[in-house]
Amino acid sequence: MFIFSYVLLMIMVMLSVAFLTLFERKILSYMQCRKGPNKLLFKGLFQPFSDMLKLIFKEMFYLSLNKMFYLGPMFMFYISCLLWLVYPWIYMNNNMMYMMVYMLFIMSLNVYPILIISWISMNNYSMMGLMRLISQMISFEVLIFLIFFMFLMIIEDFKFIKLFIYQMDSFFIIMYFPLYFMLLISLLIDLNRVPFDLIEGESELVSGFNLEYYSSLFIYIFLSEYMNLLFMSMILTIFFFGFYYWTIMFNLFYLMNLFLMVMIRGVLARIRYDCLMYMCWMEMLVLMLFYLIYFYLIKEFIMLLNF
Amino acid sequence: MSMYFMFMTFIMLISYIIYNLNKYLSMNKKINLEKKIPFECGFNPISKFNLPFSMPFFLISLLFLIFDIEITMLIPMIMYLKYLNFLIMIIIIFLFLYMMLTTLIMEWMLGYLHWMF
Amino acid sequence: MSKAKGPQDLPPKGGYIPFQIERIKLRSIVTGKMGIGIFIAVNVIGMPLYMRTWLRERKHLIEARSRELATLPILFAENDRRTLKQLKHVREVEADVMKDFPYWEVGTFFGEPIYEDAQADTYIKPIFGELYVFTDPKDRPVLEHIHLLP
Repeated sequence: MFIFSYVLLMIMVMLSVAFLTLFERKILSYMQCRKGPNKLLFKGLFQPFSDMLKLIFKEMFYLSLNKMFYLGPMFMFYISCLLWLVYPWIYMNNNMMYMMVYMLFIMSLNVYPILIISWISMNNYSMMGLMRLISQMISFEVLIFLIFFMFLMIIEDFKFIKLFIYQMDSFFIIMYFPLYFMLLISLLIDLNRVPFDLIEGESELVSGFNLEYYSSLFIYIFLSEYMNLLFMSMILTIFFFGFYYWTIMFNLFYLMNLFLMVMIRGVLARIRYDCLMYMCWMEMLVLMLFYLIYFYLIKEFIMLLNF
Repeated sequence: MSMYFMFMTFIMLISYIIYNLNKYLSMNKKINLEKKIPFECGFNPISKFNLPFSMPFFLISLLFLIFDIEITMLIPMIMYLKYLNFLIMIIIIFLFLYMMLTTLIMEWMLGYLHWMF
Repeated sequence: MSKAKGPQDLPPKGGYIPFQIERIKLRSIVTGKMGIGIFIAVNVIGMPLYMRTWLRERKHLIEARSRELATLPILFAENDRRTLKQLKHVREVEADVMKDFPYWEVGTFFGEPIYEDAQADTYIKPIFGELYVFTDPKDRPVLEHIHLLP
């Protein structure tokens, strides 16, 4: 019976992805002093569906007879769908006890499908994208984990519901605002969005890892990327502004976070790769470790005050 | 538990639908060998298909391995914060964070983080 | 190459005007020191708020643990009563099964006590085989975990 909620969630998420493409195109174009697509139906609302139809009607052929060729993108889509199981329903607490660990686990698994995709298309461009991808994603996984570990220390439990309980007095963004910026940057990197989209850098590697992928297999890749984007915005909203998902303020801040993540694409240029690595290992990781020590001392202080 | 299996079959159903829609609605084009071989700047490739082994990427993977084990051991600390007294916990957590910090600073000083080509 | 006719393209008289080399810094709304100040202020204000919620959660945690501890005696008592019933039943069945066996006394091994050094009235906790010795071997995997079922 509860399967109906999850099925509806998936359908709605995929519709949101379709409209997210239009959202992104319109915003980027307004930032460049032009209007985006506004011809189809009513001010361009039918555009995403026509994009999907175009992709479905394109030609389909196999680059190699290996089954991994079409299973790779499907696996990517599958992982992004599994990530949405963490959605914080309040009435169906199915195994809600360890949701944070599950979420981290699935986010770490995002590396493998892209590895398979880049390897199967026997092209030097994809291979270069692959090398960059691996280093980028695994470096920032450590950082993302440490930020989540900070939250686990604040909340003292792996459940999501404690987030709402601890944010009854004040939002977390007020007290832990450095974490907001660090998490924003790390999530953007984990999603391979500009300014960190080195693996699909259009002017360097011709479309990077999804070079030899057309039509339906490309649909999987790009669906999974945008579904991850939606999920990360939700994570930012829940962690820092702890509203329940049925309030209107949740909607407002969720759209604000999504807007921010999309707008960054139109403003910043792509980062150089060694600057990216320096940023992770030298600057942000050290900052994060010191912040963890500092916060743990605060907890000790609180404990001693109330002995 | 069966709910998750139903969820998984639903997702597989969606992927199956997308794949088959594409298969039966796609255009029929002539099979051209030029589409199946890798390209390089639009022409046939000159260089062979294997990239030289890059040291920095490998070093980063090793670094990640070390830190990954540490963060895997940090996950159960959360439960200990609730049940153990803070004198023990301060020693344990500071040990872990101190080890991570020293590892990182040592690597920095020894030059493993310098991005060389 | 013939010589070019017409006026040459020379720099203006008096040289070029010196142009700006130094960096023009961005206008910053929130400077670095202001950021540190905000951090300190926010932590000073936010810490008591966090403390309030943390203490509330600690109280909930302690109450949950106390609840579990308080219900343990009755659970142990019920368990012991059930075990004693089963032991009694086993003794009766043994008496029934071994009534025609020569030289067998119920509760002993041919007249000798089972545990050599134990006093006559010590309670030795029974093991699984002792309780379910007269059951069908096919049922035993279920009986092993029957105390967990509702």
